[in-house]
Amino acid sequence: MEETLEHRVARVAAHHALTPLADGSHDNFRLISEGRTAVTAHHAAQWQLAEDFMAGIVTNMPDTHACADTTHRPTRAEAMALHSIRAAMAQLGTAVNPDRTILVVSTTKGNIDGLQPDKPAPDAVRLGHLADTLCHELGITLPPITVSNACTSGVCALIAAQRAIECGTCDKAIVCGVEAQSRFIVSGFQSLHALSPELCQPFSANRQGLNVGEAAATIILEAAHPSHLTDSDWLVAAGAIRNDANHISGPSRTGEGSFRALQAVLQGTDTGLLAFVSVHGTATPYNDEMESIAIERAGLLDVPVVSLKGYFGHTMGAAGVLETIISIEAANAGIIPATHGYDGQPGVSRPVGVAAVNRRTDRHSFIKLISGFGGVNAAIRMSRGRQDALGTQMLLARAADTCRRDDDTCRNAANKSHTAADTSHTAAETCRHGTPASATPTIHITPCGVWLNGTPLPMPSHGTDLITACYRTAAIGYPKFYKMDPLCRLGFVASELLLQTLGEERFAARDDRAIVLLSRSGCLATDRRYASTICPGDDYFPSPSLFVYTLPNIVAGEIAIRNKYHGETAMYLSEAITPEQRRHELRRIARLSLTDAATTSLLTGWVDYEDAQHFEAHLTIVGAATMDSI
Amino acid sequence: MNKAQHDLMEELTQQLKQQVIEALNLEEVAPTDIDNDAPLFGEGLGLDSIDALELIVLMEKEYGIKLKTPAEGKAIFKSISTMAQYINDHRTK
Repeated sequence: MEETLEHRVARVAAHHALTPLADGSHDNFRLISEGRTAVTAHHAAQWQLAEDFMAGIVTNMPDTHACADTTHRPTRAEAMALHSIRAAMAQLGTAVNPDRTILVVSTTKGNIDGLQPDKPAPDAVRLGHLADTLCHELGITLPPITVSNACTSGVCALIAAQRAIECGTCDKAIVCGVEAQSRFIVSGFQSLHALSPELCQPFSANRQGLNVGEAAATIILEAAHPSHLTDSDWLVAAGAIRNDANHISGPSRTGEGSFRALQAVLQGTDTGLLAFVSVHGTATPYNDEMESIAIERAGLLDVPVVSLKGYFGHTMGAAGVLETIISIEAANAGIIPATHGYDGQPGVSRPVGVAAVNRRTDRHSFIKLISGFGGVNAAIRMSRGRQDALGTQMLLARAADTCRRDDDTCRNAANKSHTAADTSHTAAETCRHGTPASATPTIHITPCGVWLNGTPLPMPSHGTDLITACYRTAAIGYPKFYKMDPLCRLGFVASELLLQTLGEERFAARDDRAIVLLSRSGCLATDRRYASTICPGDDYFPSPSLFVYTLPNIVAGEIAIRNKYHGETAMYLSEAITPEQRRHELRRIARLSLTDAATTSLLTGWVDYEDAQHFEAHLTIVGAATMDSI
Repeated sequence: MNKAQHDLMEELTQQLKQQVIEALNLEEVAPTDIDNDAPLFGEGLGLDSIDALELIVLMEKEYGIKLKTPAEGKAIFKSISTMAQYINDHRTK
């Protein structure tokens, strides 16, 4: 690339959506603009559930999803994702450079339907493994980035891709959001009493909950120079992730995280340029009410509001990408889509601009807003043409600065790791040798013990009871600890032991510290426990409190709630095994988070809980200047 | 209420407290810590909306009582006493 980093913006090069309605972005938009919906009634017996349900289920699976690797039979999610990615790549006209292209995968439950309670979990159930499989099939050699930030994942994936391009980490980013529905997911939402027995009715007085849906949606972003943009080019102009720091499943009553995310992406722009806000609009009572408050607080009551959930259902990990694609198509057609299912009776406390019919617009930018469990909220501002690109340049100045610093620190760190002998400290080696001392505060917990800044902390027990022993020893006094799943308990005590040593003021609301975590097993241990509550037959009692913890990002949410951190929270999954691979991955994702102008420090690291004998947390606190200590 | 009925209710109340503690992971709470008539939600035990949903599962799993909506639970889950009374009147197992 001849452009310097300051001149890189993330342009939409291609996109594709596969939904139950249609195979292709434009056909999907055409059908929804005619008022068609993918959501249909399904019998409980279909998945041995207790109640019937409404959902958008893909039945038009294209048969072009055969794997290049003929020994691998793709799962449903993989087949959908591969089809969508290949269809988007075909639009590029040329092959992508495999060394400068990153695949960014967004999903909440991936291949969860492959999990059987009485059998060992297959590798494919790990979300990072799913992403590796896709890369292998597509011939992409750079390690993928796998985002699992609950229902915000799709928007968070677009933000990660935008940052990776602006920072020069890659020249193209293929962002694929995919969600396959399953009895696991539907039983869980039924246990939460979150599903509507009818078509969902976003923002309506009589709304009764959400419908789930499945989809694969792909947006390929590429680096471009603003002066090379044409009037038909779309770019990701701004993106932000903010946490409610309030509750792991209920949205903030003040719309806190959504408001803060909106505020961040509105910086430096005129709300009069916005065609609409494509909101989350799940049609649960609390979500839509929360969003109406956030929209009012952000000064957006005059901007039309659109929920697309009535067309596709809530496609979870795919939603952020799918709804961005549909919004692009709509703005290109000069249409503000109707909110399908809206019954004309406003059911939220603030007068938001929602409508039951398509409207016209001549504006060409929009905001995609989304929120999810773990208190996480995300927004991106998408804009078409050059005008916004030049404004975006100003905002990029600081980000590029951070990128350059990080490039240097990454290079330095890489050099160090080359000159040092093989310094791979596996968990087993740590058991023998402890953790090396470090300039930045670090906490390291394995079944063998706890090391604070490299020094072992005496604990009354090891192994299974160690995590609870940490909680008691540190006198944390937070009874909610006992409600957490093992991954959250581990991440929580690690963060507490670390933060207790800093001597900084705690529990005052702040948004300058992001929580960025990396894991391999994610919430697999809790997935298994939840699966054991949905065995067909007399023992079918899906547990809502277990289901809530079947999202890997909840651990970041728990830490945010405890500390009142309203900044970015993000959970990434990786198949990295050696400590060097993990550190490389961590540096890569941590520097992306530091490009947010609000973020000055990161609580970051590895947190993994496979089972009672295999777990590890290795957290640290860094800023831009201390990135090389990761 | 005669003595036999009273003893049955007392037994149910004790059993229910144990079940609530287990279902909601109230690790540091003993049955004797829970006052029969104290509010379960709000202050005190610090229960939240997910706990309420978990109590709905408990009612069905242990006593065969199926609530149609979470809203019904509001009056029933006021206290251990109100829960025990409702179970006593509606249990199918």
